[in-house]
Order: sequence, then structure tokens, then C-alpha cells
Amino acid sequence: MERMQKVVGRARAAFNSGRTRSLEFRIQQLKAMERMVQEKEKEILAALHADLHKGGPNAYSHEILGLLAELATAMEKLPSWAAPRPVKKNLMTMRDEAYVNYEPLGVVLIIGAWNYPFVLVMQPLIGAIAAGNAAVVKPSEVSENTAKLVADLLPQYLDRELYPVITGGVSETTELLTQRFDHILYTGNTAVGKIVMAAAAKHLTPVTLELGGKSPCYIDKNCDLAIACRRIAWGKYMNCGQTCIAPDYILCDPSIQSQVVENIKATLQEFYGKDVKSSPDYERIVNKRHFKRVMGLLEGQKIAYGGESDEASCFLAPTILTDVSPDSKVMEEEIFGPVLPIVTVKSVEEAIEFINRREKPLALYVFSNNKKLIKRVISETSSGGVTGNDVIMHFFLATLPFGGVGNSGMGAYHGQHSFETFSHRRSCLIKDLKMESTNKMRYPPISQKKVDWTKFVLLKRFNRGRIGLAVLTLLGVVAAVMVKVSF
Amino acid sequence: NPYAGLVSHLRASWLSGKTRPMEYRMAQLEALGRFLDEKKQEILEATDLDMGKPSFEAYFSEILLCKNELNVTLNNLCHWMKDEHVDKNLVMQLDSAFIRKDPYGVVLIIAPWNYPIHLFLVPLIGAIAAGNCVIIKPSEISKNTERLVAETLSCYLDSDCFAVVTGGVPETTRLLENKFDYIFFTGIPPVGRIVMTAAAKHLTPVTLELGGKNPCYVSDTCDVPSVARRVVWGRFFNAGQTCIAPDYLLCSLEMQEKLMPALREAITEFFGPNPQESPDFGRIVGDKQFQRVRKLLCSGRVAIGGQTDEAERYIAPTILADVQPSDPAMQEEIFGPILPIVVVANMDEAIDFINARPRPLAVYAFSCDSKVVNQVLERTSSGGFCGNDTLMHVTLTSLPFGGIGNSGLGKYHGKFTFDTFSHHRGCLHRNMGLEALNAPRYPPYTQQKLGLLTAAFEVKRKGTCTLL
Repeated sequence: MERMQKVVGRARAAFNSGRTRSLEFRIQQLKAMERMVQEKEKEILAALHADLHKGGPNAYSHEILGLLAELATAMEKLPSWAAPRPVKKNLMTMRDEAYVNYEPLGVVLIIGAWNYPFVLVMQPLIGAIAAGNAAVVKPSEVSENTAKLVADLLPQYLDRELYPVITGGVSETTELLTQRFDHILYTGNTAVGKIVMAAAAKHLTPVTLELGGKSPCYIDKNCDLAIACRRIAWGKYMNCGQTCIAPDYILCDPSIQSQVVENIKATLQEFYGKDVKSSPDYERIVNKRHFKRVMGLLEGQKIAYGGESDEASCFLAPTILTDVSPDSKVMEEEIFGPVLPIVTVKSVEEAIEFINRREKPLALYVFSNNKKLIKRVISETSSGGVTGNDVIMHFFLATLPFGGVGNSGMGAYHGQHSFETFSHRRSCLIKDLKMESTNKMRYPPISQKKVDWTKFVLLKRFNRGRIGLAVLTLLGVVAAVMVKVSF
Repeated sequence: NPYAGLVSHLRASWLSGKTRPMEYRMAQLEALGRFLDEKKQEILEATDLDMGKPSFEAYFSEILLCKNELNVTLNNLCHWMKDEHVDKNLVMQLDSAFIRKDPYGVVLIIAPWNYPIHLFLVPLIGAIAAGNCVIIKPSEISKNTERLVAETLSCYLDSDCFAVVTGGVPETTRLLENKFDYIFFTGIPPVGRIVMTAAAKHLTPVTLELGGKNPCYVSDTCDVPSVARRVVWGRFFNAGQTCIAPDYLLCSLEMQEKLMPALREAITEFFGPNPQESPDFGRIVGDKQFQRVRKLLCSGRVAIGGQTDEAERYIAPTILADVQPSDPAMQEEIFGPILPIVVVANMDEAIDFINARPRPLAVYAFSCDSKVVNQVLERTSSGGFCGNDTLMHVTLTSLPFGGIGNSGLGKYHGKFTFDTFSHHRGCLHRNMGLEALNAPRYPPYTQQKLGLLTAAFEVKRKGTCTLL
């Protein structure tokens, strides 16, 4: 308890010193992070391999490539993101300065998850640093090699007081959550999300919760099945299915079910070869507990493909289940494993209804050659994000906010959205002490004349765009003169 | 749960898609406009009965500012509802990438008693504009307004999608047990914590508009009469019961001396020699609140005012001088017509004083020297800031209104209300063709494929200078 208090206290003192206010300082820290990622690439990839059996190019493209892109974007755009934003003024505030000032929140807490253990703490950290905050980083203890690496590396490259790393499990995290933070960004599951928000409520701390759920994937009869299935197989089985936005289950017409299975089978051969267990590109389930959990979901199911497993190495082959019942266990919880259930539906209406009866997912996928159908599915459902005719990819466009809704989370980040998440937008109105006469219309004692003047300046009855600034200024001057004369 | 039926009825209406079309939302918003027009007299009367709200103030805050928000929304809703297309990277040039504004579903708005129409109506405008169904819970403390809203709002809005729930703490507690898709709360920090804790059980996102002690720094170089008038206006509006009222003044001993006659003059100018007789000065809303505020008078010394009349719940516009940080008036948000002056040596001391306390909803700074105003702005943190005036920053609908830390989280007004009640959904609509471009991402992974991916996704840092 004392250690946590000290660490957070030091971060707060460091924040209060004001050194994060300058953009130069923030860019310098981001540059240091960039150096760290480039210089320690080997160590990072080794840790990811130890934790998730992830191969080099795979790990690089999932956890380093995107990070370097975010860093470059943040360093490039920070001056424009952080610049005060002037706002539209009304007649009353015409002579004043009115703008939104972007300010840091203070000391933020970033809690990472184990499935993409490096990028899920580093990417939020980029936003936190860019916005001028101090940040306490708590990587997941389940991916222990990456956690240890982050704890070792960050103090070597970044300001030690401002960006401390705290490692540990449930009890350490619980203790940490009793401290006061100015924002908490948590990536993980729904149950713990509720605990984090309840702890945050005690300090009125705003939260961003990146949770999960069952992301549905609807395949329309009218679509190029070979392409659709290849894209789906890629997104489903990457990281051994342990991706928050993996297509969790498929909804399709019974008439194309077997074609879907055949297409995915063919793709899997292309991806991993005949013996998937010996492919360097296929990962493992993170630990025994999750392995047992996912194996449990296979009970009583029709395995159309896959199902081979080896508990000792937490290996489970890419598996497809067919004719799955909506009430079965595999359709209750987020699978987070290489098991793909297919639930048949007779129409897109049935699919939409199916999706809407369940909790709002983090991602929604729909494949069709019919653009209108895709638009319809998007419009009649709700989800954190959507990719049409592909999976996962909306994650890789930093201009799109990435986050959940309902049970899949709240808030968003990536790119400029990270900066905004970790900033306070402070409204500023700067007047001068002159022109007091225009204020007189609002002061008591009140008369009907004053009421009429107030209505005139406040009500947006006219379209300012058409009237033009010159006329407005003239009106303002006339108003000021007349008020001075009347009062 | 007594409200479960109501919540599921509203949820069914929302799922039916009734609130989605823009025409429906516009029609409901126009109906709200008619409510404000047709019930204007009743609103002025109810707020007068509730807290002696002067009719100009009621007209200004409960009708005029609300109509402003309504008009901004009606004028721009079409534009706000549109998908927002975003910049794309190299790989997605042929795709459609946009942010879709989805309604959350069934939202709850809990309003306080001090601006009882405004503080439910302005959030309601955004909630309706964003396509949600809404339960409105007005404050039971402003009981006349509560009755007015409960009895008449349903004549204007679609009762399938919008409902008013009345009651006190027990009713609100039971209401909060239900799952909502968004909760918007305006009130005090302790209740804000309770609301957020209840929301956490359902992972319901919240906006909390809370409060605190808003400091007002007056520097030695300023136009004393103007400052006095602006401060008096902001402090005594609604008899001090305003979340963004200047709560206490910080200035030097000399300035306190100079300000006193100017403050006295402004109070007399506004309210006459006996403010109790002025139709432009309000009353405290209830006996409990009256007792609480009256106790705060034992702070420093009463320089102006100090008279009270329990029968009317009247507390005179009061200025307290030489107040110490340990005095009662400096321990809690005053929310009454009392302005304590705390003497500080200089601006630096004022800034330290402000920063040693929880972050307030607003910070005010008065000075003829714009550098002073900017210093106070730069070196403090608050929901909002106004230089050389009080309250006015919230009348501009293009400025977001909200707190930070203890004074709240989230923001609204204007488009920010619409955004608050919308889920911003990132959507990428890709091409089925050009599958060859996707090849580098598929296993088996090779260094060559990685090189292609890097080339496609990489963001190169532009040079800081361009050589010709």
C-alpha cells in the first residue's frame, strides 16, 4: 500500500512540477519511446514469443509496426492537436476571445491485457504522454515476460518519475485502484471492467474501458465466399483467437454453411501448412486455465474441422463448429480461442434480430456484395466498431475511434482520439473590462427594455452565415451605442 | 423493481427504431420548443414559488438559454447526424471510412433544483437529438417545477419514448438499479459518486456535472466599479444558487479596501437600499438549505449585508471580509448569497491557494493586465475559465461545459450535448476485390511480406526542415 502511494505520489509531484506542459518535453519522451522500440526490438519479440508463442514477423506486424506509426503520427501532429481551438461567438461575445484549451488531466493509470501485451500498454501511453500527463503503467501479469520487459525498459528510456511501471497481479491492482487517478484506461474483460469503474467512482475518476464480447460475423449468400473466408480465417485464428475484435462466431444461411467450412479449411492449409502444430506462425493459448476453458466450450459440439489439442503446450488446432445452438455454452461467453462456431440463420432480418438480442459487441462484421445490405446491418445494430467485407481492419485506421459500447466498453482511443481521451477540454472566455455599458442590459433592476435587448443578442434567429461579419459588427456597434444612450 | 416496466417499455420503443429518423427527432424537439413557449408563465410562477426566482432570471436561464440550445440543435441536427468521413491511410484509399453517430438507447437525466427546467431540458435536447429514449428525473426539492414537468411534459413529448419519474432519494435509488445506456447527472459530488457506482454495475457511461468552490481572483490593476458589478451580478444571481457562481474572492488587502465601497454601490444599484423588497433578488430554496447557508455567516466579519429572515428564507446579499481559510464559509460550496473575501499577498499566492484545493467548475480572474489573466489561466486547472467576467462562458453554446476532478466528468452544451449522447462508432467498409493487396498480411509470415506491410502502413516522420 505504501509503495503504491509513494509511486503515485512521486508521479503526481513530477506532474505538478510542470515539466510535462511543454510540447518539446512530450515529443522528447515520445522520441525516446520510439528509440526504445527500435533498439530493443529483439528483446520485445523474444518476450512476445515466450508469452504467446508468437513468431517474429507476426509479432512485429501486430505489436510494433502499428506502434511506430502511432508514435510518428503523435510527434508530427502534437502541435496541432494541442493548439487552443477558437470557437464560434455570438453577438454578446463578439469582442471577446473564446476558445477551448487542451490541458492534461494529471496522473493517469493504464492497465494492459495479456493478449497483445506490449501494444496494449504502449499505445495508450503514447496518448497519455502526448496529452501531457504522468502515467502509471500496469501491464498484465499473465503475459509475465512482456510485463517484466516493460518494467525493465521504460525506466531506461522514459522519465522515471512520470511514467512508473507497476507489476503484479490481482491484489496489487486492487491496491493500485484505491489510489486517486485523473483517468483510468483499462483493457480487459467485462467483469473486471465493472470493478475498475466502481473503484474509479470513489474518486470521480473518468474511465475508458476497452472490454469485449462476442463479435458477430454475418456472411450473406451473395458474396465471394473464398475471399470472405480467407479474411475471416485470418482474423479469427491470429494470436490463436485471442483478439478482442476477432470474429467470434459466424451467422449465415444453412445452404452455404458447408461451403464456408470448406473455404476456411482450404485457407488454413494455405496459412499453416499440413501440420499446423509445427507452423512457426500459429500461436498457443496463453495458459492452462484458458486452455481448459476453451476446451470446455467444445463439449457436445459438432466439430467440422480441427479439435486436436495438446494440453502440455496449450495447443488447440484451428477448429470450426457447425449447426451450433444459440443456447450452447460456446455461444454464451466470448470464446477468445481458435474455435469458430457457425450459427445458421435464414435471413438478414433474423441475423440482425439475433445480434440485437445480445449484448452490444466490440466489433461487428458483415460480408456481402450488396452495399445496401451492409449499410442496413450497420444501421440496425449497435457495436463498438464495424468492418464491412473484412475483419479487424478498422483497428488499423487511427482516424477511427477505437472503443466499445454497452458491455463492450466506453470511451475510445487511437491517434488523435487518444490525445483527446487523456486531455481536459477547458472552455475559456476572455473579456476585457471595457464596454461595461453592454453589460448593463443584464443587470438588475430589470425592465422590459432590458428583456427585449437580451432576447435580441442571445436568440439565434438569423443565419449568421448569410448576414456576414461586417453587418454583424455594424449591428454590434449600433447596439453598444444605443445601450449606452438608453441606460 | 417499480421502474423495471417503464425502462423495458422505453427500451422496446427504442429497439423498434422509432427514434431513429431525423424527422421524428425534429418533431419532438419542436414540441419542446412549444412547451417553453406555451408554459412560459407557469415556469416563471413555479420557479418563483420554489425559490423566489426573479422573473427576468427565470426567463433568461429557463427559457431564453434553453431556446438558444434548441435552435442551435434544430439548425444543425441534419449536419450533426451525418456520418463523419475520416482521413484514410494508403491501404484503405479505396474503402469507405467514417464515424457513425449511434444513439445509446435508453438514457437517464437526473436534474437538480437550482435551474430546474434548464438543467434537465438542455441535456434532454441533446439526448433526443441523438435518437435516444429518455427518463427524466427532476428534483423533488423544487417541487412546484417538479409537478409542472410531471404533469405537462407528457402532453408535448411521445410518451412511448420519453417519461418523467418523480420522487426523492429512495425512488432515485431504485431507479438507478435499472440498466440504462447512459446517465447524465447534475448535482453534488457525494451523490455523483453514488450515481457512478450504480452505473458501474451495468457499465453505463456517465456525465457528471458537479460543483465546488469557484475562486475569483481580482488583481490590483483593474477597473474597480466594473469588476464589482460583474462579480455582484454573478454571485447574487439566483440568490447565489448557481454551480458556476464565483464562490469566493481572492485579492490583496488594498484591493479588498477599494472593492468594498464599489461592491456596496453595485448591490444598491441592483437591488435598492433594501434587497428584501427588490423583485430582482431571489430566496433560498428550502429550510434545510437556508439553515446551512446561514451558519456560514460566522466567517470573517460581515462587511455588507448579513441580514436574514427565516420566514421568507431570505439572506441579504452579503460580503464577508478578512475570511480565513479555516472559516466555515471556506469549507464547503456556499451556494448562497454570501461572498467571502480571502486576502492574499499577490497573484502567486492566489494561484497556490487555488491549486491546493480540489479543481473547481470555474476559475475567474479580473485584471486590466491580460498577462495576469493568462497566468491564472495557465497555472490553474478547472472545468472552465472566464477572464474579466463571471458566468458568461456558459452562455456560448460553442464552448463545452463541464467539470474536472471533483467538479465532474464529461461536458455538454450545443453540439457537445449531441456528442455526449451518441456512441461514435468507427466504421470501415472495404472492397471485396483487390484481394492481392491483402496478401502480405496472411501467413505464412515472411520477412519479405513484413517489408511490404511496413511500406504500406508506416507513417514516416516528416523532416523538421525542407531542403530545397
